[in-house]
Amino acid sequence: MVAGALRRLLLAFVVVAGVCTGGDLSALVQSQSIQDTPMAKRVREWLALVEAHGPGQFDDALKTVYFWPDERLQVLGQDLTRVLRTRNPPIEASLLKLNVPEVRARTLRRAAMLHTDAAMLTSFDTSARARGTATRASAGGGLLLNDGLGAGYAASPFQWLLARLLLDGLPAAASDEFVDLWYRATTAALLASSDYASADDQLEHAQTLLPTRAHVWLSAGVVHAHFASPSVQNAFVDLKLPEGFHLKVGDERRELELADEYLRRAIGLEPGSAEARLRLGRVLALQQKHADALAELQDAAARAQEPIQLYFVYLFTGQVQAEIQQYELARASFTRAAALFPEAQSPVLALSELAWRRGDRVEALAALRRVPSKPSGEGGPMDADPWWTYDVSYARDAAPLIAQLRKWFALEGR
Amino acid sequence: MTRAACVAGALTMLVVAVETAPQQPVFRTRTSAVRVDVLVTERGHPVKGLTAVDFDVRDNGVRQDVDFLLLENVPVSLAVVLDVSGSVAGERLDHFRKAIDRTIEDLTGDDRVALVTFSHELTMLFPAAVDRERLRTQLNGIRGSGGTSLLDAAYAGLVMSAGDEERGLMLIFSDGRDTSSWLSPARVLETAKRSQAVSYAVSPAGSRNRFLSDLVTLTGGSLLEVDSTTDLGNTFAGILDEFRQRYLLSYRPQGVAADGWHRIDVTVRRPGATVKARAGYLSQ
Repeated sequence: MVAGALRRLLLAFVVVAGVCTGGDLSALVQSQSIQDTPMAKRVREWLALVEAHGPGQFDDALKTVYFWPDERLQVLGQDLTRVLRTRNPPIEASLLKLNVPEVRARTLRRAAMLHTDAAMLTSFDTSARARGTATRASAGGGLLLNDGLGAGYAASPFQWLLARLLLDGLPAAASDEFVDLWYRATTAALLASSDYASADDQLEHAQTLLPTRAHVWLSAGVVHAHFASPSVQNAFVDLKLPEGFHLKVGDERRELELADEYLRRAIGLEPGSAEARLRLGRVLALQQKHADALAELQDAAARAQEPIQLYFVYLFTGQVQAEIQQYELARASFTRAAALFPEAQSPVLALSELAWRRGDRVEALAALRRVPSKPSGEGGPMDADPWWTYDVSYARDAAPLIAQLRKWFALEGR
Repeated sequence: MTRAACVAGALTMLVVAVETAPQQPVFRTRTSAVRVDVLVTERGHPVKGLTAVDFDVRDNGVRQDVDFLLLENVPVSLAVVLDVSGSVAGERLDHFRKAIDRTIEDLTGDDRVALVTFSHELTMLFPAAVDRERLRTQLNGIRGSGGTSLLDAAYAGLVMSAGDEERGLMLIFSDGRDTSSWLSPARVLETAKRSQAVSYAVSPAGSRNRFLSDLVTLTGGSLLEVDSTTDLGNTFAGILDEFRQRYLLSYRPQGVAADGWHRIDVTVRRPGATVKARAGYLSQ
């Protein structure tokens, strides 16, 4: 518990970009017979923990699974792969009643929740990434970024992979409402904690399983737009990856192209999404597609429901207008953004820079004097200016979504 | 846990330090004049005693008639920009405090100083006459945390160090890479092209910060790498000393287009001498 909490604290300001170790659970499956009893014993023990765990509770069952070493989790993964994926399930499946559809669905959802809770408790496994065997067996991992610089490597919790494996075993996973909610909620939670590497893994799987869900493509667009950002790209300038790792993040141009593609797919599935349109507008602006960006941002402004969405729309619109030398319009847009969040520094800095660009040094300095800040030099809260948490702000509904996921089991029979 | 949650509980006061600039000694250049701070060194040491005739200045390749400005008449407008995005409690804060104390020892009554500290957020003390207590109070309140808005801070430093009456100098220390600025590198570098200030940057050895490197090259300054912040005060003082030994040249552009980017080439008629000056300027 203490170790987990410490890890989470240490990683509080860490951004993780995707680095893949090429691990795949199916590759772990051995060809030996599974008719022996040790597997049944292991799975039965695990099932008891699944039943004992209360979603969201830090109970004994969760502690047990949380502290299982990677090796134990790998064996469980092998066991479950055999029980759930084999065309002719082994005798253990019937012994454990996993061949009964209702039992199987209920068990798998609860089990997925147990491993989800463990994964969320674990955050990143910062102790495992240095061990070669662990990284090969892990569910991927990431480069830890601190203050814009690489600060080591971390394996994504193996628990995420197990949870996905379990959900894949549901009779109709692609149309299962719990599966849809699970991907939406856990991806939001991962993005809210800046674990982009695990989110990327999650979304790659979701794109195959749930290709008609707008939130999957929107989240993927957000992840790749983040990968294109200076905070990630700057970290790769002089990065040397350890042997066995390869970088999944492309250069800025490539990541913007992917973000563009995914956000357009999201809009195609849900045209009314202000969030997708404003984020696409930003990506288009970064690609210097000014007219297209303005059109998307205008559309987003008309559909925006929240002040934070309008703030971003005005900020990005002002930036594009300044680029195409529509200075008065840009000034109006930045002023609107500043009015929405009076404590935000970015729109006031933008107004100052706009004045400087026009050769008005006096106004540039005067605008700087209007930048809101603390007199003592103490750093203010990150949410004073939504721009500072633009990427993370996408996941602002993570907590209610996770709560909704856990409440799902409160209904009778679940 | 979100990053926002980690920095919750910070101060809620929202007062911007605003000060009225005191009157400065009169020193005027012609409004259309271009000023260039030039460092001439020989075997690593500044060369003294040069006059206007020793310099050859070209604006977009066209030779210009150069005026020579007497340095002792020109006050300095200094902006110190400090990265407090990591932990600055204890030792490092003490290093910053000593660095400021040491730096302002070498400023005179006519000089002006501004201070920008930054994490994700900028905190600014606007240009004013040297006031040790005011600077100390600002530094004592620092609690390092959060992201790194290096670009936004560099922009603020450039604007604050600019002035018609003074020679602009920005000293910037950063040990991280930008994570949270609104302004882009291109925009800040363009700001530098419209500024006459010289930027010097100090960063930890091996940090290879491309933005800082581009900034100092563009403005004719230098990027210095240090092993620790222990001796930051002497590093800053050394920069200020070097800056005061630069020559200030001025010319009214002749035979070149009024607008756009103007490349400046400065050479000195002295064998073995090395010249450092800003790369050019952007004219409206």
